Amino acid sequence: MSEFVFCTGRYESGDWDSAPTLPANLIDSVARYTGVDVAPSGAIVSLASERILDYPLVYLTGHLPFRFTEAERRNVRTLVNRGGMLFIDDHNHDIGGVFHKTAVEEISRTFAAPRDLPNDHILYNCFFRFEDGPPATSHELNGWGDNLVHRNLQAVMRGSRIGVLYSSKDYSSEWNYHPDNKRFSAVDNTRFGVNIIVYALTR
Amino acid sequence: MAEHVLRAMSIGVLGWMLWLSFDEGVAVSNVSAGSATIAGALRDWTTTTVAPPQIAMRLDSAPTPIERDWLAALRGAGSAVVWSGAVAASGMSVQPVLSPNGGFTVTVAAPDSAVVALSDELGAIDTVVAIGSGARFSVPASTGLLTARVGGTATRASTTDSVTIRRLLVIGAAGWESKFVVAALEEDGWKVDADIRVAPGISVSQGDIASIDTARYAAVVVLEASGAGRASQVGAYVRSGGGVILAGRASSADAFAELRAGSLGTARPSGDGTAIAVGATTLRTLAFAPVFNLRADAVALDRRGTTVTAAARRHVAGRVLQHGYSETWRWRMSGGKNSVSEHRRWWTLAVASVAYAPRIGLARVEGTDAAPLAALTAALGPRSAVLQSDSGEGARSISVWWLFAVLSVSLMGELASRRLRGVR
Amino acid sequence: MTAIQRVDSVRMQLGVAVIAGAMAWGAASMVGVLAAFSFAAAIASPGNDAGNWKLVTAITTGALASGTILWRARYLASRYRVALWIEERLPRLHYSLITAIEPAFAATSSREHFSRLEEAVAREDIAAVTGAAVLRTMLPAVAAASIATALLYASALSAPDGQGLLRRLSDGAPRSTAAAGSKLEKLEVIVTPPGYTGARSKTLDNPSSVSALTGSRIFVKGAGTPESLRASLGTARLAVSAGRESWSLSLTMPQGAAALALRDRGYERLLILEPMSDAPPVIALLSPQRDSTLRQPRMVVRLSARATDDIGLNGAYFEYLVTSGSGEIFSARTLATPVVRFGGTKTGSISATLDLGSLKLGQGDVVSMRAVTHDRNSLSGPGIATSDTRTFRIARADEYAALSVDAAAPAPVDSSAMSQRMLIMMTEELIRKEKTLSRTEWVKQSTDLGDMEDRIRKRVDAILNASDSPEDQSHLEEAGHVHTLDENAGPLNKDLLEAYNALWEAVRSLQIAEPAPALPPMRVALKALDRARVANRLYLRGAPPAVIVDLARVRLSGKEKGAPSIRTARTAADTARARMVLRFNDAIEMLPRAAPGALRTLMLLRVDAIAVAPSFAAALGEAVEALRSGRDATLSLLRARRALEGEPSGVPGLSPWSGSGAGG
Repeated sequence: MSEFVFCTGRYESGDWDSAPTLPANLIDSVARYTGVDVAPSGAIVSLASERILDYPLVYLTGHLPFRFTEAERRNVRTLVNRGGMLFIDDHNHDIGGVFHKTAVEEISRTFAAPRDLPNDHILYNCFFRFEDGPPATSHELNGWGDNLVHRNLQAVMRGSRIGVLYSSKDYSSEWNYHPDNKRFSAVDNTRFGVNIIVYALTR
Repeated sequence: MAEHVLRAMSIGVLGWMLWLSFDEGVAVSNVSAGSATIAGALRDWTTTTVAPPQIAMRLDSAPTPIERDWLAALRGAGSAVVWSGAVAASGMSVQPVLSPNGGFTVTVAAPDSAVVALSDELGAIDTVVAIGSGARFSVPASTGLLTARVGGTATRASTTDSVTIRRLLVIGAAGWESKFVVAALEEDGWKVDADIRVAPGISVSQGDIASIDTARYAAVVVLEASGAGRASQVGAYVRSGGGVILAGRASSADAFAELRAGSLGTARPSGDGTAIAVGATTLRTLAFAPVFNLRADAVALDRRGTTVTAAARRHVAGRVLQHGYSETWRWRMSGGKNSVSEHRRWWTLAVASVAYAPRIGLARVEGTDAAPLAALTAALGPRSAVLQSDSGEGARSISVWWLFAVLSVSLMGELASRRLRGVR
Repeated sequence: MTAIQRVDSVRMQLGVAVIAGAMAWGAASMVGVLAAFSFAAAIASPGNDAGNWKLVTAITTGALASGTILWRARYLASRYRVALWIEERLPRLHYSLITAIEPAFAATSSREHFSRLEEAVAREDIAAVTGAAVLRTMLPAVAAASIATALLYASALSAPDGQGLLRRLSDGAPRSTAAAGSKLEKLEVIVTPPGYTGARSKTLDNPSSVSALTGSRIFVKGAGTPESLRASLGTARLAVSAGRESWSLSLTMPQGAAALALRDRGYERLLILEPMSDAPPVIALLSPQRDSTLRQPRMVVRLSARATDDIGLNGAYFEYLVTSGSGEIFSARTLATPVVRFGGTKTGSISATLDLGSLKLGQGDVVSMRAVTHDRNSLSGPGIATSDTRTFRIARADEYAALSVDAAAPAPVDSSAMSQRMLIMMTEELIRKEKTLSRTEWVKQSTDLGDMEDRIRKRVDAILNASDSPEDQSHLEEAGHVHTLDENAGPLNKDLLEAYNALWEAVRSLQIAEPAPALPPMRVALKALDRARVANRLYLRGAPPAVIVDLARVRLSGKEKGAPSIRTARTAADTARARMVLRFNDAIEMLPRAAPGALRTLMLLRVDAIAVAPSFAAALGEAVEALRSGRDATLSLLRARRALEGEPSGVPGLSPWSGSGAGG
């Protein structure tokens, strides 16, 4: 059986490596809760290299302006068109920040404009149940209005499946810690990450 | 004087032609024809009052069914029909591909190194040089009868069945291979049920998998050794006629021992040890586990060098295909421009090679001639070694025209002579 | 006049009459044949009407008729024969005329005898006989010619549209493949591209398809009146206008391929519309060629870019994005150069220089630069293109230190900084809304913010004291105890202590509904928390820590369990193509027995294929053209089939394993 290798995509334009411990944290979670054959460490692959096609799920994050080069654009487009999935998370928790604006622009230009993913999508039920849609992160202030809570994730669909999953909820901050620190938490906040990976592997 | 001579010639020729018309046939003892002249010759032989006692055919290609039946009728009317010549032995079978996309597999039996040209009523399809005992064609669609020409012999056939395509069941574990195999089969039009194990006791499922039987499934694809949990159901299914594909390390599970075509070896790395150019992943460069120690009834379907990568066998009423590829998904993702469609096609053909599909017979199509040499032998007997030389073949036809030419010249000559003399 | 002179005179008159009569008979024959063909064409359904052979036949007939008459009158070449002709009609001459013109007689006879013969000839009215003969020769010929001409004229009128054979021959009209009277037989199409392209109109003569930019104006014109005409594009009817002995209609090239259906009574014609889209432009940044990291923000960067477009460029400019700061605290500003206008050319270049010193960059700042261009598409655009981005980064001072440190996992204080930033924004928002809120609401929101701030304070406190439960510190809070800065505290504790104390102040202000005084300590707390976060973590670009998970230890050790789920099937790919396959095969089977219907099906199929399967559409277009012009379309149809259904493949040898035999 081939292993699932968690891949962080390296892109040219910004701080792609702003969440260096997230991969290990999610790998740990996948191993804790599922029987998926997962590699013990992740891979970092340049989006400009066609080797990215060896990793059908690619995680991208950053704080700074986000721009694809033409080679990166070509490769991610091929990745998604052939059945792969991109998970892009804005490492800033804000509204209309530079990463968000530029990332949405690049996603729109490369694929299509991302649209709100309904909160009853199977992504939220494919392994763990999240009745209210994407779980809030610890620094989100739920219920305050002011549009500071991102109620939905956004997605670009390929038929009935998610091709690009875009998050403004800053899961990169939420999950960017050493997996050993999970013991300090009553509730494992990485469970939604497991859903994303199980979705990518089974849909 | 000259005019008298010409007039006498005209009268003489007219008399001869009149006599020929009443000729009751001092038939020549043998007649013969070749492939090129058979059509006209058959008409001549049929319209004579006395049938020729022997008809010798020198054939370089098989006659058409109508010509063959005609010769058989002449034989039945009392003429001894013998034939010789190098008529290519050919036969043709058209089978529907067991795929939602349809298509046909055309198998043509032909002599080694013979050129086999396949066409349909629209035009040429492909040409292949036969190796061993024939050639195979994969035809997405055709119009009307398919014709395979081997030498000058035309073999015509069409499919005699249509097939009922049923669902597939894919059993695997959450991972890229199960994801992309299910995707490829669904994208190629198959209806797929799936049981994908995510964690102990937790699966992602699709469809109602209460039972595995031929009423519901055309084939079962087992992708991981974890599928061994359903081994007994799968075994019963195969014994009753179903088809199963044991992919990758699935066949290494002991539970599938009675089904597999051979033992599964250690996985070999991708390529031949050298680096593979990016974007160049194909089936030939994928990592695989060799299938070895094939059972006596197993057939090696694919090899890389001398190592078997895929093998198949029949098990009771069913069929089993075993291959050693665990990561065909890499071909789809990292292959060339058409890798997605190639990956789909490969999996569809793999399933089609073992699938259970009830057939419905179709009405026979006029004009088929699937085995011309065999039909010729059945109609006229085997090939003869020596043929008598012919005589008089067509002589009567030729002499009539000569007579007419002579008559015309003599009449016109007489007229011209009279005119020149000023006599009306 | 002597006898010889009289005979010569008669000979000349008769000769003229015969020649004129022969010409008249020749013309009558020729015209008669043309009239016969014209009547036949009016009655029977015309096939490929080749007028030339009919004209040749008519001319040949006329020439034969004239030649025959001239041949029969060849006796006029002989004086004696003419004299005999006169003698035959005037028996009273008793051969005196023929004797009188005999040269031997003139030489041997006496003058008196010769005079008596001359007198005898002179007494007879030869002119009357000659005149009658001339009339007999001319009148029937002229009458025949007149009748033939009248018949031809009648046949011209008898054609349904007045286009009889004569008219068609004189017009040099092209061959007609449609039934006489079809107003759709010959179309003229004028295509006018959208105005922004600056391109000229072009005229297409009798096309079967029109390929033009989306938004182009299409003018279709044909001969005849518009009364019986119907035009539709999809389900929409189009108005047909009348012109001078012509009809016309006008439409705009749609976005998707479509078929313009024209109907005239029993005739139908399809005109395929193939829209071409205006492709967006392309721009490439030629200089600088690569990213760079600078120790000092002192450099003049030369930029150049080249843009191209399929129709015409509008303009281009350079855009700079300057970000300052790092991690989660940074600011960004965008600058742009003035737009360089290209005036509609298909290619253009821009260049600029950027003095990095003018941007007042600091350590860690980043300048991203790219080129942007627009085309002139004013209908659906403009099309916009951006180049690759080049990034110039100013290195931080500590970046060049050789450090090899395993970064620790980020402390939970990370999220505190983010929360603190959010709280500052919300407090500022609350202050802005002061006038719009009631007192009760104002107090509530402020105290809620205070509670939030207090939670952060407790978390900081817990970190300071390394306690899981901030509540353990409650005795300190109740006493209003403020931690004082310990000079011996390490850098981490110093910053956290400062943050803690500032947070205390902020909480107090917020909980008494005074958010404005809370802001300054909140900002101080934020800065302190950020310093604490950065002090705790080294940001190593390009070499993040490698954490290896001990899978064996953690496998299936999670307390929570997932749940099974249902997967939804994917749809088959290329369902549109599968439908086209069925339609194509049906059309092929229909061709031998119902060619017009099959042709129509293929044309409509081509419309659907243009967007989905362009190579199939192109091959189908060739096949349609061949079928319309009566040529062999086999090769084109074969190419179309291969483009649609894939290439067949043949392999030598027979496989030892055939397809499934189970169940059959």
